[in-house]
Amino acid sequence: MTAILETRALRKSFGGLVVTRDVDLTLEEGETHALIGPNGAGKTSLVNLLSGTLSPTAGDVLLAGEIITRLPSHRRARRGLARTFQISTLFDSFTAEKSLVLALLARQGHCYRLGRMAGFSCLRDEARRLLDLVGLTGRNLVPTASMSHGEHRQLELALALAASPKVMLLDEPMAGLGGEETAKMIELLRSLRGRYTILLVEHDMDAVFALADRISVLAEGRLIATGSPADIRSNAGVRQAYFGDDDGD
Amino acid sequence: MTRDLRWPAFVLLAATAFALPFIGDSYIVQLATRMLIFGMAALGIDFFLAYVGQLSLGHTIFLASGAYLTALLTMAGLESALLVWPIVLLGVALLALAAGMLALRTGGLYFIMITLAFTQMLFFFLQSQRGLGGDEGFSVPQRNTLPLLDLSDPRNLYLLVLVLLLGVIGLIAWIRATPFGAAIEACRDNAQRLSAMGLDPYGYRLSGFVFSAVIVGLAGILYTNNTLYLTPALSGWYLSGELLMMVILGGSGSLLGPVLGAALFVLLQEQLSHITPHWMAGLGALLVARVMLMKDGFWNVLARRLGGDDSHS
Repeated sequence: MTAILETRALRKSFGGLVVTRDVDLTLEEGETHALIGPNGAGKTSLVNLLSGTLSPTAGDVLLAGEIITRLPSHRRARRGLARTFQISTLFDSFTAEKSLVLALLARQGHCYRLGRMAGFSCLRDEARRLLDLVGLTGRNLVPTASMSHGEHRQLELALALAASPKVMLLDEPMAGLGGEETAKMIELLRSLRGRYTILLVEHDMDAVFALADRISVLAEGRLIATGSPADIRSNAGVRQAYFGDDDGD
Repeated sequence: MTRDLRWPAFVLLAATAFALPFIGDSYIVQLATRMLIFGMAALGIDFFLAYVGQLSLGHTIFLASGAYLTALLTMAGLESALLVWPIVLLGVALLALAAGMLALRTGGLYFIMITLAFTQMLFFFLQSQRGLGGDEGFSVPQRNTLPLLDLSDPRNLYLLVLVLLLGVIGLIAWIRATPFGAAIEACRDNAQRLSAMGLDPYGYRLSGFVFSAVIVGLAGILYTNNTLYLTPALSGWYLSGELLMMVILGGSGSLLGPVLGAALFVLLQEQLSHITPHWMAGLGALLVARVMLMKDGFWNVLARRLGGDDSHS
């Protein structure tokens, strides 16, 4: 196994508030790595530091061994780092298909092209395959603004997949989904296991333990444990910080 | 389902516009030329407002620089439109590139303030030029010349303006159908998502800014050729506001809305100012009525009646 995404003593503070404290996190190629922690532990901040939405106060981020700490998010995306957002971040006026065709075109690094968008029929087919994959079959021509919340979560994932990424950062893909939708999303993520390197930020513990090869626990900005699901379940420090003092989960 | 009548409506409008110089007198032709020129400027501003998604109060600097550069080159002895117009458009594009690189570093309210500051800078600069008549402005001795078309005939100028306007409408429709246009609209919808896809929103915003400025610059060129008289008011924020009123009246985000809004605005300006010096009050009441009573500009509302749900025709 080789490390594909790494942080070294990564630190972020806003004035006196430290949201990320000297985090050393390693994602091995092909693993699904869950990042858990109580509310306010700094999970989304860490994802934003990895994706380039935030720049760190100190420390480094490495993608495939190269330092990318100072690269803006679009340059990181071009190097194979894709992400989804906790709050759906989509092109509301576009159809799902148009959003995906744009995402597929973006793989070439720019969209300063003056051919007709409708002319890229092979990309349209690829867009539809992605929509099939995430469970949005037949929804290709629906404007994003009129899709349901669950469909937005599926489209978020399709857009990340469209980049053929080396690493996907999934920020709470199950956020706001109902029971049945959550089960479908877990099934979908399970089908992606091993094919992609995934950092999964998630509150749903069933999902985390069902999907993760390894789990890292964040509390007050600090990485307090990393290990297999079994290790994390039995780790006293984690129970203390995350589940409270009781023995239940 | 009723048939989509937007295309027939467009063809009818265009046919009427082409027939106009053969049925109307020279006063009507002059007025219609003015409508089309402001229609083009309003389209340029609306490209930035509707597709790049930002409000600019600074686009009159491109109207004024297009108009003034044309006048100055003409007075310096360059008369050929084929020579002068490309030079002016290039000049406007470079100016827009420089202004955009500064202004687009900011967003929202700051962006509006910076673009406002640009218009004021140009306004006071032009006003202080004694050689250009200061506040009073100056007249331009003649129109530019074209090989086959005699522009000194107002009807020919009108037809040229009409063809160029249709060309601009076609160009905007084409850009919107390309990946480039999609990326520009994607920045408007969600710049964060665009960067997460690996595209830098700044470049698309900037090219959208320059493109819209060049359209306004072309309107400036035609303005000089139509009126043969320029004043610094052409670069004022006041005119920026009027252009936005035209867009709001007709409907933002459509190809005909800004043009028809401009036509209505120019017509009312002309007619109401004959009746009363307080014509702005009448126009203001109309604008208030449009915003309070209609969800969209009158063309966009009409276009939805004529067929289809979108207003993209």
